[in-house]
Amino acid sequence: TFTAWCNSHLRKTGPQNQIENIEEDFRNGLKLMLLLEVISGEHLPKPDRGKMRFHKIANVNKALDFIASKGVKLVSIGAEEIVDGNVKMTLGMIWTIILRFAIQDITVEELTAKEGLLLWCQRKTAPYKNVNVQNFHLSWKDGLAFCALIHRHRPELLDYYKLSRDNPLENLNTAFDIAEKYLDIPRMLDPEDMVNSAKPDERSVMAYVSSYYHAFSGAQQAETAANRICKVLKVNQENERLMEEYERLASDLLEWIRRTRPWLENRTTDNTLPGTQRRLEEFRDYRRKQKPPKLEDKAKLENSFNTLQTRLRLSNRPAYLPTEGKMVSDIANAWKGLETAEKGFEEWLLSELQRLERLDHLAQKFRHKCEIHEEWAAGKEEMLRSGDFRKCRLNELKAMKKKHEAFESDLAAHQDRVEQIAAIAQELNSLDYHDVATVNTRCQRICDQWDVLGQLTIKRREGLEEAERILERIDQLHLEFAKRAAPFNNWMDGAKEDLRDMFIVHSTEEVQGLADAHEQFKATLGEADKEYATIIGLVQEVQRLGQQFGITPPDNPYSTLHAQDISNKWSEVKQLIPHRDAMLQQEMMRQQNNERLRRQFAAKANVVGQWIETQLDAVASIGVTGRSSLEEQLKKLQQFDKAVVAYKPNMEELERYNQEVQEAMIFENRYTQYTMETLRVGWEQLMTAIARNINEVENQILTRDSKGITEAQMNEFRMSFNHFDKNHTKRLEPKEFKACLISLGYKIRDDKQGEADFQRIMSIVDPNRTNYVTFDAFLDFMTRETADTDTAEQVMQSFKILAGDKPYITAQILRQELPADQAEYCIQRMAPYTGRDAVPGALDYMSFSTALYGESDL
Amino acid sequence: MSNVEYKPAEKVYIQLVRPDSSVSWGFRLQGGIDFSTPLSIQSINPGSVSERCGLKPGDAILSINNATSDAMTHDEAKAEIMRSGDQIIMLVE
Repeated sequence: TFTAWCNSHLRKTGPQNQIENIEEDFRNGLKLMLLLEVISGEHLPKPDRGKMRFHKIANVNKALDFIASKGVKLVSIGAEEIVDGNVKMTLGMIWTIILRFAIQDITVEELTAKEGLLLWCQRKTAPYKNVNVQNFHLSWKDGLAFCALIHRHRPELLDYYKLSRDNPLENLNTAFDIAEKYLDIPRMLDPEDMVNSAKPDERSVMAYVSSYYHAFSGAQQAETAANRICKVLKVNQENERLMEEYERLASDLLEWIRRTRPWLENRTTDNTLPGTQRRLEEFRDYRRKQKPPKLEDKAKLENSFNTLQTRLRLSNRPAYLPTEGKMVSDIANAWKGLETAEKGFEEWLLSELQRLERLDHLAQKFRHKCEIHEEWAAGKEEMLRSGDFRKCRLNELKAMKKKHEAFESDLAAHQDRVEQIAAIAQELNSLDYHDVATVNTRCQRICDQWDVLGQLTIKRREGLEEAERILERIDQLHLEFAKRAAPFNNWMDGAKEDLRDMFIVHSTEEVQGLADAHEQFKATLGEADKEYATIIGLVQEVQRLGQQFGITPPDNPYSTLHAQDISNKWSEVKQLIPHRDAMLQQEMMRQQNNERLRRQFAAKANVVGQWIETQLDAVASIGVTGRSSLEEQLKKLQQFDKAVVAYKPNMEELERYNQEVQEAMIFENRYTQYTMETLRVGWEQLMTAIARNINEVENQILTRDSKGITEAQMNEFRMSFNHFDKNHTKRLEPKEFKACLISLGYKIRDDKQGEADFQRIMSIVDPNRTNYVTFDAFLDFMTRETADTDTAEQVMQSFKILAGDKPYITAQILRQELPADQAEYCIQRMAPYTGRDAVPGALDYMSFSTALYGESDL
Repeated sequence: MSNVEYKPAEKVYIQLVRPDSSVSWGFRLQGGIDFSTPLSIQSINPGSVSERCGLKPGDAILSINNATSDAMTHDEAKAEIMRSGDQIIMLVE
């Protein structure tokens, strides 16, 4: 093991320097010194090159001195023993060397040498649970410890986890092989020995393990050295990085400051509140978001700088000097400048905001006032311009005037407001409001409008007043018109009526009268015309006024009459006048004509009338005297008759005249008392009288002849008759007749019965009910009185005889006894007999008889 | 010529009633506007219904059953009476 250990060092100097026999090869001390040089890394004094003993002892002594100089007490080890080749001594010395140079130096956590090595082993194998290093003998028997150590440091060299303690031999071999191959640690132990011996040699194990230590810790040292270098480099790098970073940060920061500062120093705004608010927002953003990182950056920068400086100082490097302009002071200054700008900026911004807010508020106020005013003013202009007052009535106008007065007050009240608006506009101007142009425009518009309103108000007032005056004047004219027009209208109506009046006149005097009246009327026309002109003049004046002042004249409230009506009526009246003239003339002519007709008629009528009267008298007088005989009377009457017939043409002529008169609508004729009617009547009377008289006379003749009355009797009767014929009508009225009867001794009661009797008598004398009793009827009655009268009784008796005393009669008997037509007469008129003893065809002659005389049995 | 005594004229309602139409009234009607004589009773049959009811000869008939008979013809009056059946009310004077 020791040999291997030595060789592991010696071969570094060259393979020829390895030993083969530890007892022999160190005898000359050369390899010993070499070994010491190798393992200590120091130079020993030059060995003596001699082969002599004392040369060898000197070299060994040099080696031993060296060892001793390393603080190792070599007790009882002398150079001679070594030169002599004392194995025990040599081995002891080698062990001491190993101990001193391989193990003694081991320092692990303040434990040195063996303990330190042990600790080191424990440390390194700690992760491996199946390894437990407690010593330098048994713990290493299964070889896992070695493997663990290898694996710990160079895991790529073996797959530890495939190993097991059941294969100690393999484990050991594996470990040793690898150590030799890769770690440059020659085999120093024998795996078989290890396995087979109960307790491996502690020193050997220690020596071998220490090789591991040195190999690994060497590696480790290398590592550490590398680390240190790395660390140093890293530190350097870090420092450089820090420097760079600093530089970078510094320039960034400075750049940022450089950029930001002008922005903070920019004290311009767009003069609007939103704009400024936005800037405030930006500022806030800057403060909250942008600056803090920069502040951090600055701090970082400072720290970085300090750290850097400290590090540099600690690592004994020169202090860092930032590039020009990036000094700490520079940065600090720049930052300060920034902060100053910032502060100023914020202050300025806030004051600006305030100002703008105020401005905005003011502008708002302005707008509000303007709105209110504009709202109020809306439509006012139109209203003021309106010519409505030119079209209304007086009372409406007065109301409008009042309204206007009210408006004028309102306007005055608003003056204040307009001034206020202007004042605010002024202020906005002086405060440099951003939208001052709009403000000014609006203000100007309002002020201009205000002026216009003022003017229009005045104009309207004037207009209203003028209109009022005109309307009042018109009103007056209207009133005047009403006062005049009504009576004039009435007068015209009257005149029209009169002028149209259909007159019925019957004489020229009447016509003349009308004509005179008409002339009188015409005389008044002049005045009327004047009145008419005045009235129309009034209306025209109204129109003229209206036109002149552009006012629509209202309707006349006092009168329903229109000028047009008056005019129309007036022209009608005027037309009617000549019309009437014509009419009157016409009428006059007509009347004159009528007069002619009248005369014509009258002349004839008088003649004819006279003639008729004469004739009538003449006729009436016939027989009155009672001297002439009936025949003579008759002849005379017949003569008259002829005369009348001859005279007829005259009547006809008269009729023609009468027709003319009638056609001319002439209803009276003062030239004659005779009317056509009276003449006709007279004529007929005449004719009738003649006819009747003839008839009477004839009847008298008949009566006389039939009754055998003498002329003298006849005359007597005639005398009585004439006596009572008071009015010489040749007839007796019932009164006259009654008187006559009474005078002749008839008693006629003064009651209904008397009247009835008289009536009966009347019916006899006047069967035709003419209500007159003629002479021959009278005569007849007087002469009849003495004779039998046929009464109903007598007739009944006569029938009874014919009927053979039966109460009924048959048609057969009637036909037998009476002439055919009278029999039929009876048969037709007789009612059937309804007595108990009736036979078929029985006729009731009794009721028939009584009925003949107006008598019925009931 | 009938010579009737003077009596003051009074208007009286006479009611004539007979048992049936087989019994005649028993008076003679005279007059009528067609005869120009007033409607009157000419004669009364002795013991007749009309005598019993108070009708007298010479009575002037003013109305038959409330129909005035001033303007009636003889036949009209007769018809009115016959139409009246077994009961008549007459205003007479």
